[in-house]
Amino acid sequence: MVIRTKRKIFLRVWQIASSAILLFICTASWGSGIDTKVFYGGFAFAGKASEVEKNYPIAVKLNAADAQAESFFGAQARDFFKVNANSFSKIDLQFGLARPEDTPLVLALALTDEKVLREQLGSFHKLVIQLGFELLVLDFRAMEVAVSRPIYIELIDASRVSFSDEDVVSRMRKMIEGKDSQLFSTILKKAGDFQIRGRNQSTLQIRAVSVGEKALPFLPDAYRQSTNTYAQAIAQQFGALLAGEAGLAMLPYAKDALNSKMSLRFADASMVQFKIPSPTFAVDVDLKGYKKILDKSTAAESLWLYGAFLGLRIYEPEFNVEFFNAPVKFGVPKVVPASQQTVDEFPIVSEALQGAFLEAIQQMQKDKNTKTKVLNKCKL
Amino acid sequence: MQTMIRSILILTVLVSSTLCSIECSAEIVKGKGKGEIVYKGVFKQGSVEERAAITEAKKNALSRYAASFDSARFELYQKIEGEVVADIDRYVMDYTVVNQSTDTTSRRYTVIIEASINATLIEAAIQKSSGAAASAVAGTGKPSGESDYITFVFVARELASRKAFDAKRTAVEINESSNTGAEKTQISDDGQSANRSLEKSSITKKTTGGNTETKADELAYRVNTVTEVDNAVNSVLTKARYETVDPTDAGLDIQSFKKDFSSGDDISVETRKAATKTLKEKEVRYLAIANMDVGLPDKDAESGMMRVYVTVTAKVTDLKPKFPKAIASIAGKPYAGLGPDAQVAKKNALNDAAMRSAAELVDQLRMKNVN
Repeated sequence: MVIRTKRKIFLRVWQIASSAILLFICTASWGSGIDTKVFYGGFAFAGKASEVEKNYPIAVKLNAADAQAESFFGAQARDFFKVNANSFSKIDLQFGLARPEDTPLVLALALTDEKVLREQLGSFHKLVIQLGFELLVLDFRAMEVAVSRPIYIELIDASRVSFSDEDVVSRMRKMIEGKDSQLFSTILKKAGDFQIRGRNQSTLQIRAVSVGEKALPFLPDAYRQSTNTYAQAIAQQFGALLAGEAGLAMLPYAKDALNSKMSLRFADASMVQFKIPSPTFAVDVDLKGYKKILDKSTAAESLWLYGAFLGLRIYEPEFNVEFFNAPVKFGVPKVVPASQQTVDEFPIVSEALQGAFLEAIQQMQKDKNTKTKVLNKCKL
Repeated sequence: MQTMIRSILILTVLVSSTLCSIECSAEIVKGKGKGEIVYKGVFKQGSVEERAAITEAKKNALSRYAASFDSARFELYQKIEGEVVADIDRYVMDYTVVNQSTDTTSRRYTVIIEASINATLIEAAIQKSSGAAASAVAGTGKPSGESDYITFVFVARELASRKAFDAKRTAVEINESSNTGAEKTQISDDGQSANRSLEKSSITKKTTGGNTETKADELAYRVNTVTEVDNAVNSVLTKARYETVDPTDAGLDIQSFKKDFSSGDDISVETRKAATKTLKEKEVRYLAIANMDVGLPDKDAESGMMRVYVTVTAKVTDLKPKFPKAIASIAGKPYAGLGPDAQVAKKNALNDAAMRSAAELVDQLRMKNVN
């Protein structure tokens, strides 16, 4: 009787153990990408090869500045990823020559946007450098973008004298050089979360960005003349927040919705074109405009309120099923001393826009429908 | 104990099949589909109605995926659609629900899914249903007779010289002249005298004309066969389970093909007659001929690399009927290849053109149940 009971227990344990082994094998094969071998591929400029110098004039100068065999961006990126490979705990980052039988996945850091705004405001000169990057995992077998993590960094500086190209190059160098630089410290903060999305992981893509007329008076000349350029910066900024704050699996923003391809020019001058897969869900951002109102005024100072007004729509793009469609607004105060003749409004509205994006993410998370049907499915 | 042995066996089978599935790495494509169903009573999650709507969504995802095929492939897919739909869970490996909604007024349940479609399995089903595979599967291991053999001559050619002729002008000039005259007599009022006058005129007519004869440029091509192209075509045909025969083994005179394509766009009557006779004797039923015109290299604006276009004109002839019959053709389809230099770009363009044109010919042959 005892032997029978023991045998029964043994069989039961064996059944549970075998089920657990099976479950482990299944999850390991289709899992979240832990220990997925990814080879380091280098730094690349995104976009048409013929337009690299036009799109990234300062970055190209910086890249060639150090008359070394290896480009500035390439060397900085390689050194960072080599030293910090272990920080990317959810992937197995390898260096060396990737063999097709090892893995088709390659990690690349791509520069997708360079904006340099130089303005004279009264007696001082202002400089804004905005850089958009994408940390990408590229699938060379399917020639597809497998993972995309937008990174957005900005530097604002002011001086009594105007900023020359050399000054801008030197400021940009500071943003990128070394592991403590703005770029690499941002990447390092996110390294632990960086992972390969599962096969059934849903994705989100910023599909369309429109800039309303009421936003134009607050923008620098360069953006006023080309709202598409500003739209690209908005998409980059919001994409970085959606990935960073909400932890969502994002796909790169394609400037031209019909051309869902991403061209990358690597340091060795090789040019590769990847398909951006169709997203599960899409986001349209409508920047309706910026507004300022005088809240309080005294003889010594005035208090202005600057507001950013957005319309945000989240939907399934193929069958046009809408999940979220709401206006979002956010205001920031600005105290202007009576002695100040001119006010640079762009950094203030940019702060309001950033606040509006964070507010939008909060609203999306609070909305039960959006949370369960979209965000939870896109969560990495 | 038996239970344990059984579970060990199941475990072994499942482990090996899981590992195999990882190794085999089938091509999985993502596609969305929508399913809608009218339910009776109260809708419940997990009900038969929900499952039926999901099946509809899977079918819709497959249809949308198949809609991206070219016409020949789509027609082939239509032949196997019933079989695919009947066993849909094999072809749609898994799915995630993108959205589901229930309209209680119209008692309608709608579901949108994102499906993982096993494209490799669909390709295998298309192959299986096509004549070549069907006969192979029928047990012979090769087509039902030697007449099912196919041989191909794919030549690549580049412009070697262009002889341009000046326009030949023939001028014609006709000169005609004629004299006319009129005599007038005027009699005075008293009738005693008369005046006679003579008016003369001369007309000269000149007609000019002629013709200009222009002669088409005389083009001379450098023609060659490329091993990579032959291998690529062979690979496509073999994968589609056609029995390929090397043209030299089939007894074809490749040099005569090259000579014909060096100055014209088709093979000469003599070459065709000789090839037909030889292949009929050797019981090779199909002859595929393609000329691949290699264009001049230029720079691709998108990638900055060198780009070469290859334009393919191809024809497959069935030699079995009394009079040979063209059963598949491609008319001047361009394919582009990129590379760091013109040579690599040309090689890439030729390989891509060979693979894709061979695949298109295979689809056309399968559509006609050619085995």
